[in-house]
Amino acid sequence: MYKKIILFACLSVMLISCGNQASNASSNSQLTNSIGSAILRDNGAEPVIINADKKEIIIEAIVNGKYFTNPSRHHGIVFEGGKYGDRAVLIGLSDEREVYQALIDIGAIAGNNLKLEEYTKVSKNVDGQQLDVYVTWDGLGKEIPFAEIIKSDDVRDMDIRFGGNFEAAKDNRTGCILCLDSCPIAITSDAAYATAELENKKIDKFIREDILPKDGERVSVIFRIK
Amino acid sequence: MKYFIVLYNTFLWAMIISFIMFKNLWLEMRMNIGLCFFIIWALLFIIFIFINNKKHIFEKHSIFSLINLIVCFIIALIILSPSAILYTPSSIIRDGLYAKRLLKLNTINIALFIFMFGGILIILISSLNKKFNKK
Repeated sequence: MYKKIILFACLSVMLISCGNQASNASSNSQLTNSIGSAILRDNGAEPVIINADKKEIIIEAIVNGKYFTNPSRHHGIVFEGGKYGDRAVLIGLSDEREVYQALIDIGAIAGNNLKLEEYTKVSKNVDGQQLDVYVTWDGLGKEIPFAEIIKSDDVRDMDIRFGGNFEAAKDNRTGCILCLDSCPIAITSDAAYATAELENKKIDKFIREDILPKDGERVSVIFRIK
Repeated sequence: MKYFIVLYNTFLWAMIISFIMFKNLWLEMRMNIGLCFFIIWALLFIIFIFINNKKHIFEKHSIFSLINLIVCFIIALIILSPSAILYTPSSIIRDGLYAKRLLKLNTINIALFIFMFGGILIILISSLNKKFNKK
């Protein structure tokens, strides 16, 4: 009898995990942010902190230890409720659609110059408001530029832009908040690399274990208008 | 016990297949390898339970499982780097369980360690018990 129970339990774990899609997909279009703008936010997502005076927004994220030793070729910060929530160097806890609205609210101008068809070939660089992105966490006492938590053999000065792409983000729900090369879906991305450049040229990006806190620890990411 | 032996060995094979998939960055960027791992494990488990019922391929199960563990560990070291072995298996399992916030990689590593070494110990002890009982 106990064999059957063990067997049933093991199979249940396997099968539940197969069907255990993120269940926080519902959104509430009646929500507003601290500025009063209407926003879209999945249940369970943490609100974006907006500081209009400093022209900055702050989101919470989790360090994804997978990328200490394994490379990523695209995903910088992705909302955990998005399609690619587990495939980013930092797992964002705020909804990417709310991040878009928050950047608009602090006066950032979206580029909206990339089309989805350009996603697979090295073609254009993302346009839009230039942003300074910093990372900090409890006890650190300072802000570290996002570029400093990334290591790669191909070193270029990071040029993070507010790509916009709200409609594409809303339709695809990838969750992409910050991509490491120009992206027609992400809210912000690095203009130092053209679309699909990291993947086509096989440029690997890791996060630095010697700088960031351990896997699973929370960090705050600050997006500030340059 | 035969269910546990099949479960244990198919876990190792599913992990190796997942590592190969994980090392393909194109796949890793687009697919949830963790989900693939659990699907592959479930399929292998069902297939090998069926095969084992007909052909008894796990007859010398303790030696088979021990060699399988060693071979799979060596293959894992070849596919991944020694440093990546600390993060990759646990991240695959975490992604498959959709437990990004709930589980830290270290917690899964401890559970994996207990399953791998506890599992092989249980298999070896049960095999020894059987021999003593026959005598």
